Amino acid sequence: MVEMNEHSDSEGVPADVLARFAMIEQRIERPLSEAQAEQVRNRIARSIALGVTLRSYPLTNADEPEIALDPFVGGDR
Amino acid sequence: MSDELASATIGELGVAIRSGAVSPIELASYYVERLDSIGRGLNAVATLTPERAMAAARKAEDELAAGVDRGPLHGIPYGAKDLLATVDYPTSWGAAPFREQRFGRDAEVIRLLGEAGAVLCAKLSMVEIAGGFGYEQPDAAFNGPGKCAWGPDSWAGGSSSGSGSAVAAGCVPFAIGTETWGSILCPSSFNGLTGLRPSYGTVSRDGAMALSWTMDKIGPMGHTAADCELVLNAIAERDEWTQIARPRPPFKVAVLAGSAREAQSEVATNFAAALDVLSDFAHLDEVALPAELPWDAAASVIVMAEAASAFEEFIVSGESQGLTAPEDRAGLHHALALPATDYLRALRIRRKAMRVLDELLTGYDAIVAPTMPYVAIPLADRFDTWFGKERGPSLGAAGNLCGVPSITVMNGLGARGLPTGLEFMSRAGQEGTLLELAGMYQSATDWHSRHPAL
Repeated sequence: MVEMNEHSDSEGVPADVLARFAMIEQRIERPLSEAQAEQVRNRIARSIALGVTLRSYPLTNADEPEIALDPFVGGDR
Repeated sequence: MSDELASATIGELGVAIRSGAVSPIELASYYVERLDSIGRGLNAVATLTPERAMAAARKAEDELAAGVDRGPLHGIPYGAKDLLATVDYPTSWGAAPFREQRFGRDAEVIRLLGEAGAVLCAKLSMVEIAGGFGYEQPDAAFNGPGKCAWGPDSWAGGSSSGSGSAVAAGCVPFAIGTETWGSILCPSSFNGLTGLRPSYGTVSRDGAMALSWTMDKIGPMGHTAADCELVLNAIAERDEWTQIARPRPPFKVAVLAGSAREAQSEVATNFAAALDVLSDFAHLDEVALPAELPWDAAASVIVMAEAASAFEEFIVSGESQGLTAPEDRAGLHHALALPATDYLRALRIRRKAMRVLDELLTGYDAIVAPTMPYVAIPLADRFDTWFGKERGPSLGAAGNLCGVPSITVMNGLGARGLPTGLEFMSRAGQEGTLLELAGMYQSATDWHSRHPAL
């Protein structure tokens, strides 16, 4: 018989979700309730899906981000 | 004082002030009282600012007596969403943990409106942190859910909830709202107002809460397109929109294909009726947004990443646990682990999306769609019963991702007697075109002059 050490809420949760969740747990200074932990895992799963959608749109090395860098040249800016 | 004032436009109030029919002090007193009674009943008021209002009104009155006229907003009362800093009152961002927050100065928009002679009467309620923590139901502000002026058992919309309901209820003739993604257009539509989301960067964000640095916009909410133009004139930092020649009829208007397909039946009916009106002075073509671009995903990732960065300490420290909506308290934790490559990919896609959208809109003066696929939702409902449904194509993600302007006007009444809205969106810098089109629509209809029975 295998002893279940993992929290039941984590059962069946994809590894990439758990990896990101562990990263978050290490950073935050106040623990989450079980309900909040489940909510965070659900939202991680959704944001992973958003990333997959973004990567399905083809980009090339020449496709730059829309970032306007305005180098500081001194003065009141 | 006559309740006709409650539905008066800025232009009408200006005439009344200059004819001596009403004084700025009388106006300020009237609206402050109305905010205190009706406005508070709708949870539209975060903080009343009567001392500031009376001082500004007195100054406006003295100046007019001395022959100094600052223009169309001179002596006109207004309210501002409570994410705009004011030197003399708290700025709560709608959130309990920031309820007593104070800044040592006015936001630039507040300063400019003061320069124009406008009279700040209240800081108006909003969804906590402008909805950036992923709220899932209307009760997500420290002072309770914003109630729709047309039916207080329905939501005022968000995140500029108080700006929407206060104007619709005649508690102020105009208000300032902000939009990252939907926060001016949604409450304007739900409350039957005209709401203008200017192009990104047109109005200074100085002194405004940052949710998403590359998507936050500030704009007016009022009774008419003409009123919105008067306010935009006063608050715009950049004036590109005034430099572009306005088109004249017949306009060329694109209709977003399928945008009413999944809407409530009354929304679809009102949209069809609005297209009939538009066809009197515009040539209409049906167009679709290019489906290959991930508009929603790119906008979502950008907002998520920027909001998590802007509120990183608030999240990590656990202070977010003090937010009102339970789902907000850990609502943005997930974005702490969002890969930088995802954010940058969204920004790279945005660059392409901006060009694609501009090319699509170049042949048209504007593109139209229902502002929202439904009327104000019941106050007790969770969003997943509404937002989770297939809604059909909309302009919100593309417009906000690309920073182009939109305006919404009331175009009818729908389910439960609540307003529906019609959105016009154009190329960047074409606010003048939008105001012209919305003004033409309002000249041909009278929906903008309907007001809720309170």
